[in-house]
Amino acid sequence: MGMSWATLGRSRMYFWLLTAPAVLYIVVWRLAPALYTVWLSLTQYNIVYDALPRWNHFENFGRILRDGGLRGSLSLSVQFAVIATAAEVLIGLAVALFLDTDPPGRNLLLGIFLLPMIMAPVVVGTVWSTLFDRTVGPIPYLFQVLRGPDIQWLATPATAMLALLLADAWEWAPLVALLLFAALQVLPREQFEAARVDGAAGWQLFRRITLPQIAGMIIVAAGLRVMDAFLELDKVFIMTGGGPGTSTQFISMFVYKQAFQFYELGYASAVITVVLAALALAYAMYLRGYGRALRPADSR
Amino acid sequence: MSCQPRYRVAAGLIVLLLLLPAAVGSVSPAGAAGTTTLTFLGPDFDEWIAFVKVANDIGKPMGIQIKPEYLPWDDVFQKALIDSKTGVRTWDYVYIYNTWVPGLAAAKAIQPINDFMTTPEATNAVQPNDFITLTTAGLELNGKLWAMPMLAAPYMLGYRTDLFSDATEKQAFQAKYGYALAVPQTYKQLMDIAQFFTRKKGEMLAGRPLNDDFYGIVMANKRGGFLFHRFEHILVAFGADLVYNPKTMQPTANSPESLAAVKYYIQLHQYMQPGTDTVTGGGAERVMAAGRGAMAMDALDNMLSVLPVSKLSSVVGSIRYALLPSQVPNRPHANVGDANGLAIYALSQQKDAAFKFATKVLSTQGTKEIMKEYPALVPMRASVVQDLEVRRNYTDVYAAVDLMIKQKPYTAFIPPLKEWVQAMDIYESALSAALSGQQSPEDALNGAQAKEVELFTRAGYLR
Repeated sequence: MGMSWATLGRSRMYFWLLTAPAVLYIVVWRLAPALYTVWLSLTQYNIVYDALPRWNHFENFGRILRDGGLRGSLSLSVQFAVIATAAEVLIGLAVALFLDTDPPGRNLLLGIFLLPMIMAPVVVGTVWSTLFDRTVGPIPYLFQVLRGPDIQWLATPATAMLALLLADAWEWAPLVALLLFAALQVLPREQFEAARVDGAAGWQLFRRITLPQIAGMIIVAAGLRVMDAFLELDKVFIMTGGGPGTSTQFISMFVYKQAFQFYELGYASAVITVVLAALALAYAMYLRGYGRALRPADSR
Repeated sequence: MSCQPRYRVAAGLIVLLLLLPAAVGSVSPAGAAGTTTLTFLGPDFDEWIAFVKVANDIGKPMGIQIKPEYLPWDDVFQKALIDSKTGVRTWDYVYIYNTWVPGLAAAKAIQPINDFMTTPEATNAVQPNDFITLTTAGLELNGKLWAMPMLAAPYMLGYRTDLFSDATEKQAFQAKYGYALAVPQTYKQLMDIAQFFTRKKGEMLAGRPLNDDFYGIVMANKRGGFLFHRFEHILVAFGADLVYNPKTMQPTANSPESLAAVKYYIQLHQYMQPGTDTVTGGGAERVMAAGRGAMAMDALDNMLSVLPVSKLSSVVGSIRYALLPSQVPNRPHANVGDANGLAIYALSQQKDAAFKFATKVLSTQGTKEIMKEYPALVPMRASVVQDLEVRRNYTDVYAAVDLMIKQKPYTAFIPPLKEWVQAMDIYESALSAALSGQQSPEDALNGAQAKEVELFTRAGYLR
C-alpha cells in the first residue's frame, strides 16, 4: 500500500529533514553558481578593473557571434572529442573482448590496465609531456634509434593534437574497457553455444550476438567520453598550453584564458552559458534518439 | 506518543549540525605570547624562501615572525586580487611582479610605499636614492613606488667562455664569417655565432667529438608567456613597439619592425635546442647546464640559479654574462625590464609594522644576508652591488649589474595597460603560429593586428 503526501502527517517533517542536506547541497553548490554564471554572462565584469558587474545589454553574446577564436576552439574541441572517443571505444572494446576470453592472470592484467584511469589528469599530462620531450623523452629517442623522422611532437600543430589524443586514449580507454567488460560478462553463454552448434564462428558471433547486446553500453561509454573529452583542459594546459599557435586551444582552454588570464568574467560566463546550452541540447537529442537502445530488445 | 523520542532525536541532530561550524571555527592556533606574526603571500621560489628565512632570523630578537603562504606563481596574483575584493584581511605582505602592479593598484589590493614615507625616518629607512632605477622603474606607477624592490631579473646573454676563447673555433669562425669570434654586439653577430656552434653528434667542438647534438643558443619558448617574454627583447631591439604605440594607442603588431623581428626569431629558432617550444626557463637552463649550448638568453637570476651550481651544472666556471646585442642604434642593448618586490597588502591590520620590518629586511645588510641564502639574487640597491663583500663573493652578479649601470642599456617596461595580458596573448599566439609554420609571419601578424585593433576598439582606446 503506497503512501501519499497527504497521508504522511507528522512524517512530513522527517521527509524535509532527511532531504534538506541533499537539496541544500544542490542549491548551494550546483544551482546557485549556475544562476550566478548566467547572470554574469549579461554583464561587463573584469574582476581586476571593474568594481562591480555592469549590465551590458547582451553585448557578450554579440561578441560570441563575432569571435573567430571561439569558433576555432569549438571546432577543435569537437574534433578532439570525436576522434578520442572513437579511439577509446575501439581500444576499450578490443581489451574487453580479450579479457572476456579469461586469459591467465586476467584480474592482474585488468588491474594494471586500469591504473592510468586513477591517475590525476595533471599527472598524466606531465608524464606524456616528458615522454614526448625532444631532449629527454623516450619517444623521440626511440624514433632516433630506429632512424625515424625527427618529430617535434608538441611543437608542430598536427603532432601536438596527435600527442593529446594518445595521452587521452591511454588515460580513458581503460574506463571504456571496464564498462564493456562488465557488459560482456553478463551475456548468456548458451546463445554462443547454440550459435556454434549452428555453425557460426568468430566474426559472426561477434556481429550477430555480442555487438547487439552490448550496443547500449557502447553508447553509454561513448556518451560519457564525448562529454568529458569535449571539456578537456588539464592535459592541454600541461602539454601544449593551447599551442603551437592556437592549434590545440580547445574550448576549455579558451574559457580558462578569458576567466583567469584576462579576468573577463562576464565574457567567459557568456561562453560557458552558450556551450552549456548547446551541450544540453545535444544530449537531449542523443538521449531521445538512442535511449531506446538502452532498453532490453523485448520491451521496445 | 511513540513519535516524541524520534522528534527529540531529530531536534538534537539539528542542534549538533548548527553548533558544529561554530565549534570548528573557534579552534585556531594561537600565536606565542608577545610575537607579532606577519603573513606573506608569495610563490614558492628559492629567493622568497630565502627572504622568509632571513626575515625570521632578523625578526626573532624583535619578536617578529613571518608566516608564508606559498602558491604557484600565477595563483598569487589571483589570490591577492580575489582576497582583497572579498575583504579578506589575512595578509600583510604580497609578492609583486612588475606586470601585476597596474592591476593590483587599480584593484586597491596593495598600498604604495610612498604612503608610508611620511617622515624623514621612514624615508631614510627605505633609502629610495639607493635603488638602481634601471631595475626598479617597473615597480613604479603614476609616480609612486608600489613595492619594496627585492629581485631584479634583467635579461642577459650567457655564453661559454671556453668555446669563445678556443683557438680552433676562433680560427674557423674568422675563416667562415670574416670577423673575429667575440661576444656578439649585434643581432647579426648573434645569428652567425648561433649558426656556427650548432652541430650534430659526432662533429668536432673545441677539438673533441660531440657525444650529443650541440645548439647555438638555448632559450625557453613555451606558450603561456615564456615565448613572448624572451622575444620581447628582440622586438624592442628591432625598433618595434611592445605591441602598440602608447602615444597613439594604435596597435602595431604588423609594423615593418615587428615583422623583421619575427622573421629574425624564426631564423634563430633553427639554432635553438629542439623542444624549446615546450620548456620554461628552468628547462632551458638545464640544457645549457648539461653543456649542450654555446649561448643562452634568459633572465640573469634564472641562469645564475643553475649554471654556476656544481650540483646542477657541468659548465661551472665556463659561463660569463653580457648585455643583449643591439639592432637599431638608438636602442643599444635593448631589453625589457623585470622586477620583483614585496608589497604591503592594502587590508593588512599591521601595515606600519609590516612597512618598518620590510625596510629592515630589504635594507643593504638584509639584502646581503638574503644573497647568502640565495646567491643568484640580483639586487636592486646600488649599495649592495658596490659592497666589497658582494664584489668578492658574487663576481657574476657584480659584473653583470656593473655592466648595466655603466653601459645603460635601453630598457623598456611593460606598459600599464589593463588589457596587456590579452594583447600579449594575441601577439604570442601569432608568433607561435609563425614559429611552428602554421602560418607565414605576414599572415600571422596581420591576423594579430586585426585582433589587437578589435581589442583596443572594444576597450575604448580607438574609435
